[in-house]
Amino acid sequence: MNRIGWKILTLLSLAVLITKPVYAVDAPNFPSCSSPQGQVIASYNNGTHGIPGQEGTFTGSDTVYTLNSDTVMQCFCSDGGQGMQTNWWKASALTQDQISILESQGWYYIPDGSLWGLNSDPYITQNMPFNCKPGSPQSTNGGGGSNQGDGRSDGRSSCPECTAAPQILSAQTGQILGLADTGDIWILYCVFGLAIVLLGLGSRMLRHSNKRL
Amino acid sequence: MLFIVGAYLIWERTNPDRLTLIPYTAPARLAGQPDTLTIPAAHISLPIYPAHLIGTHWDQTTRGVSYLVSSPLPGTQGNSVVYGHNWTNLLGPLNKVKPGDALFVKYGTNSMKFTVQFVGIVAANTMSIIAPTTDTRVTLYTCTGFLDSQRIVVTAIRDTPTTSAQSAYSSV
Repeated sequence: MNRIGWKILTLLSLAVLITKPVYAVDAPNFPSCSSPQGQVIASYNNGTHGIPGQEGTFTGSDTVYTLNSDTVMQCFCSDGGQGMQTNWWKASALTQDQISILESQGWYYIPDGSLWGLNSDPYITQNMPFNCKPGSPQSTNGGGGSNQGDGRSDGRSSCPECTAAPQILSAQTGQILGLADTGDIWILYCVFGLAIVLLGLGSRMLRHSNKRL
Repeated sequence: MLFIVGAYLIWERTNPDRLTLIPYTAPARLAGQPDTLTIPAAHISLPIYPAHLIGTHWDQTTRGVSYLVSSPLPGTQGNSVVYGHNWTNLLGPLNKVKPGDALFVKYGTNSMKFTVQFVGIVAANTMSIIAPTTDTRVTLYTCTGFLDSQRIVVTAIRDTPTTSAQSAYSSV
């Protein structure tokens, strides 16, 4: 029984290490505010802004990009250097179950996008914090154009030409590429995990053989 | 025996001189390629080695950081991509970098200054961070998160020279 217990424990440990979470809802990929993409639909160099799911208002720069007909990205940089990327995904085609799953994963449901300057469809939003430099070209990336005196920009974009995928991203047709896998902590976990398991097995075998003697 | 192996792996990842028992030949730098990356605020000072992206395989090194040669040279217009392992003696301290910190790329005795604008964590498939740009920036990243499932990204924009007489480089 104890031997079986050890084997079960070993298998469970391995299962925990190698298991990846499976999401029932396949959310779209959004770019990063470090290199925004899409068409600028609103841009403010300063002013007071809201962030979905967060109480209160915040002062700083805010730029909103439309990525396609269903997705919008908002890049906010507060005067204190706290940034927030808000990914907006039109939720009209999602079921209530899917919305509930996304909400359980930290997404925030907006019943009416028009209250936030978008169209009146429902949206589901995801906030991703980052650190930014207030007043930097990065924080107003894509938000060029003239200031209209009330903190708004006329929306003319000075966004870098980020629309076309570079050659390095399309090495092979149909293949999904990812950033370099520069981490190898799993090697350490495996080595030490295996060492502990073998040590435990070894000590039990030693105890058994001592009992027989 | 496994504990000894584990201890060696930890030492390899933490010793300041990046010593290793495994023989390694660093890729040769071509003329005009950068040689050192420094971020004083995070005590990062690492050699830069050229690297290629072949298919889905990214060249990597444990002796410093990798500069993706298919991206623009740091300091020239565009998005220069630099990446490295998240070991303590490599880019592990990248999470200490904050916007406003200075980042230097050295070419020989000349040093080019960049200012960090963005520090964030993205998913491993967020390829937009290495998309071409029209400004002059360096995008630096390494692994982070649970089982290194995410990437911490630092974006720095090159400081504009203040006088016409000032060259692209500043002497060290």
